[in-house]
Amino acid sequence: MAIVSRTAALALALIGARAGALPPMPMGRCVGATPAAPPAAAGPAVNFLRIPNGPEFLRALASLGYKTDERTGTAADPQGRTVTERYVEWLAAPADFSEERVPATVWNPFMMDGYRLDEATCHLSKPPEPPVTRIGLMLFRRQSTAQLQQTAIENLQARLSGLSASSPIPASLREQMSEMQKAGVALPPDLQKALHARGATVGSLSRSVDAAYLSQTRLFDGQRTLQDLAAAARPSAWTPGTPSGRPAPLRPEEQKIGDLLKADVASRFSQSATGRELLSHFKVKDGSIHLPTMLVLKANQRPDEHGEYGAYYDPSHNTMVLNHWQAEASLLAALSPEERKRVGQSFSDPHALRLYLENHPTERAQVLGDIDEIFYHELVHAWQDRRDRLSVETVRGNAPGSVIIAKEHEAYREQCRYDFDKASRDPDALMRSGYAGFCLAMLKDYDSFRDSISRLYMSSFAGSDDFSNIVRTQAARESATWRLMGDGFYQAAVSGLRLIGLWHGDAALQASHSDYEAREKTFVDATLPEIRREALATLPAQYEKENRFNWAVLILSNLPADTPGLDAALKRWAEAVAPTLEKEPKDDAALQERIDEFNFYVVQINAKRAAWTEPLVKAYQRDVRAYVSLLLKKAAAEPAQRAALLANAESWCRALPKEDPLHARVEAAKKGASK
Amino acid sequence: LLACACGRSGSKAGSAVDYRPPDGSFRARLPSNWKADESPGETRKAAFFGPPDGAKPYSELMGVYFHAAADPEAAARTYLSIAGVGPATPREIAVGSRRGLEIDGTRTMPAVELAPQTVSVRTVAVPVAGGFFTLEHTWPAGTTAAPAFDELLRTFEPAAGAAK
Repeated sequence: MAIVSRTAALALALIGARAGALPPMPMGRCVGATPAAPPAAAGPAVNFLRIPNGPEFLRALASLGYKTDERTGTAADPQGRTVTERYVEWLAAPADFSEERVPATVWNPFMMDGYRLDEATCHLSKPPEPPVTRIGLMLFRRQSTAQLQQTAIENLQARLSGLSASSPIPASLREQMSEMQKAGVALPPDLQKALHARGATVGSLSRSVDAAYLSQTRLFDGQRTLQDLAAAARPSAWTPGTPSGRPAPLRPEEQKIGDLLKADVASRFSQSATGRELLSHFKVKDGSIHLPTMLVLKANQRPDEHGEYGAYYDPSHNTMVLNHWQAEASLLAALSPEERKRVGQSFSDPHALRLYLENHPTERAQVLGDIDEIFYHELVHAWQDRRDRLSVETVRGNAPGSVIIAKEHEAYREQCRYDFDKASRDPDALMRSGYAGFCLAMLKDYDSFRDSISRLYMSSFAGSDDFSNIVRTQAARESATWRLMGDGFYQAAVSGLRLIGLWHGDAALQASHSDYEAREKTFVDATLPEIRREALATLPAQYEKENRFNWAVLILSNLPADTPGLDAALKRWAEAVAPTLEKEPKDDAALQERIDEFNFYVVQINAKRAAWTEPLVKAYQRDVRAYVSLLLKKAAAEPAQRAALLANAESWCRALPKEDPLHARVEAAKKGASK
Repeated sequence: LLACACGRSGSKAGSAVDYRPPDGSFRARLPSNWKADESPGETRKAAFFGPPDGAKPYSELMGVYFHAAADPEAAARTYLSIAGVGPATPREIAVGSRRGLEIDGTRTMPAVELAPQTVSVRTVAVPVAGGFFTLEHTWPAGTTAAPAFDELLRTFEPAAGAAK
């Protein structure tokens, strides 16, 4: 099975913003309503010794927790029901995904291995192979669970490594593991018990963790042949994008939309300097650009599945996947209501969506325009995987498969650099972007921006880590492998090969760590000042020309105080905005913008870059009164927000004379709210 | 990247301990079991991620940053002017033995999963000679924030000559 890319993609900010305006997204019927129960035990028990492939079937059932008897060739399911012929037929029948609902950790590897959903039958198949059977799905789920358990064990091992053996198990550790379990990364049941046992110490738990890790490692090493291990132990010349990687899971009918998307992406990115720079990382010897294979597929079974990606890059197949559900939502939002009504229902079918995108270049461009930042972000990940060996060693099993937060810092800051570059040619584009506020925060304080990304990943993905923790996990793997050397001749050979592989992983980890640190330093020292200089030079003046003074505020107030030229730009803004401030706002939206402008104007007055005039004082009080009245109206209509709105109203009231009747109205509203 | 938080000798996990960043630019009391990021940057003095337990581990961030400025008071007010939607004048609060300016707000982080994540943000600026510190607390909107930030504010003391 394919290794799922751990480079987390950007998600669906745009869709989230539009969700309220659109009807529910068509999902089709293969979205797992209720799992079907096995047939009732009727008839005699099947004798597996007398049917073709019976012994293999029996062993498979045993691995799934069925009670089997190799002597009589019979089996009973975990609930004790006899396995009859009808039961075997049921197990061997194709899994029906209108009934089965599977998590992304099970669904996505099938997709990345080339399986596709037949929308008519709700079967998963990869022609010419027959569809995935119920028992096949059960076996794969078990394998997937074991892999996730291995991740959970490694995580626990790394967290225990710094603690004293005699100390009790910290409550925080139990909380963390339970949080990982909620995210689908669960410890094996025996370890769960050991973790929660009364009186357990770090030492006793560490011994259980060690034993479980060794046992799981033996299981996985047993599944890898000596040839696999020898291949992983050899230095590899492979980098993502070269032919020795796994072939892209591309079906012939998916080639056309993939090629069209590649051409669209290349054409869009070639229009900007940052885009051209990104494309240049994919240039091959003859000067042509070789982007990763592009695919549109259902990356998870349902659009509301936890772990959904808008798009992602998978280094092991050198493939960028645009999630079908992201494309569908974007396309539905781009269509006129009439067109949406005419064709929208069919889009849950990938075939229909693909044909529509192939034949409607304008709509396809709109979809790409919605998510070009996502493509940029993911192609940065593709570039990261080309320039160092870490992802290759991860795919080869020689380094842990964690989400490395430093990779996300870079992908987000590059994505924002692309946004600012676009804005230098089309200033309004920045304000249309769902990421405007996020990227402006990067201008204001890069370190705070970077820390907020760390927080987001640490709290959302249990497998997110910084380099130092990943190095600890790697060290724990190596030490376990050394211990396995004593398990006999065969295991010594296996462990020796494994260790050589892990040393390749060590070297890749070290080189990658240094590279990310150096790149971040260059960004902070050289690139970021340039982005700020360019933003200051081009954007505020343009916005002021269009009378979008509040947009100019967003740029000016997000630049550090020592940005060269900022002081003069602030004075210019204050002079330019003053005549506008005197005019009465035409509606509530304009009033909100006006308040933002006045807010910033007062800051400039305090900094002696502007001064009050009598008309401005009058206008300020007029607008503050209107704004406080608006806040009172909202507070009455929105009980959940009442306290915050009234606090805001009270705060703004301070700008009004003491005798203003609004003071009493705010006070009365507060008293009313507290009753 | 993430160093082990604070000195912990003799402290219970999670109890507040005295903390100084590697450059000694401030001191404060901080929970011993939060993860600290002390990697040098443009403004970062230290960032703390926690709490490690509870319903949503590591969902809160407390950051201490320093911004050089010729006119610290004006620059701090400009910095706070869009930190959140709110009053024209930031609130004045005590930060250790100094005066700070505070503003609250919410931000929407671009999502990595199903929906954008809205966070509450409390930003406090502390003007000092040569610039101002910002002390920032971020936590998921609609949840109760850990009391650690109040302890940071109560005990925060910039070192003399912090503006390096």
